[in-house]
Amino acid sequence: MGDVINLVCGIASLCGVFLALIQIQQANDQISSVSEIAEATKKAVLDNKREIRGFLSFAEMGHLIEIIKNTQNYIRKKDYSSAVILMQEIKDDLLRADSQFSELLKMLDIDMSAHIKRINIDINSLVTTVLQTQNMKGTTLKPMDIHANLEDAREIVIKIEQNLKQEKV
Amino acid sequence: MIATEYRPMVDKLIHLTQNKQLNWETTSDANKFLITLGLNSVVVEQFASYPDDVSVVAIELLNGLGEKIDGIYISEPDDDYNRVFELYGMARRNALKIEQTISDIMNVLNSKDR
Repeated sequence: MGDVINLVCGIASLCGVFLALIQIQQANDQISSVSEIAEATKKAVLDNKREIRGFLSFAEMGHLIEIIKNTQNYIRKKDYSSAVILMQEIKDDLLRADSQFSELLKMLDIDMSAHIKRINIDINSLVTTVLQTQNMKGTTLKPMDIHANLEDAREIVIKIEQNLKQEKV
Repeated sequence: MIATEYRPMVDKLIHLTQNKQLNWETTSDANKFLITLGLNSVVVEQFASYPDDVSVVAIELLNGLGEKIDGIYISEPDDDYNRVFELYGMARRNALKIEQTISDIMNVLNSKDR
């Protein structure tokens, strides 16, 4: 009788161990499945961000107008290093606007690439000026020309924004 | 020394600027002048090198977006310095419309002299 009880206990114990192993395996599977989902979600969010980055949203256009105004203030204050950083951002956004609103720009008779070219030349002039200033040399920069080029860019962005608002209405 | 592939371009720029067939533009740098040719542009610039303070003329090629893609830098006393400095001087006079300004001033002076 005692042997039978021992055998039953042994079998029950083995079953317990076996069930515990299955549960551990299931937990492992769930953990890896959760981490796979997390990885996939991360990738999807990144892809989505990249996709959004490719288009200039309505809100970003308002932000771009603000950035241009801030850059003009940096130019006025002769803080050329800060202006260069913002102008790189402006250039990137104008490039995006150029490809995104090519039809609208054509309709408005705006040659965006000419303005992007001016911004690029201005960035180079500012970088040269920053280096010249560091070397205690005189500068040949014409800050008001850069201010005017930025104003032209700002007016273009405002025109695009106004057209989009009209389309929405 | 002007690089071989640049030499015909420099000669042509001098020739056409001399004949008033090109319209150079000013830029945000008082010593830098730009000409747009098709989708691309050429920039001519004069500056003093650091720290030796030698005069340098730069001729740079820009792509359609105004990004510098290549350039040559000729400093004094290079054999070709006078040639590129001639181009810089012509581009400057053309962009700033110096001849036109002198002519306008002369017209006013002549009218007062009558």
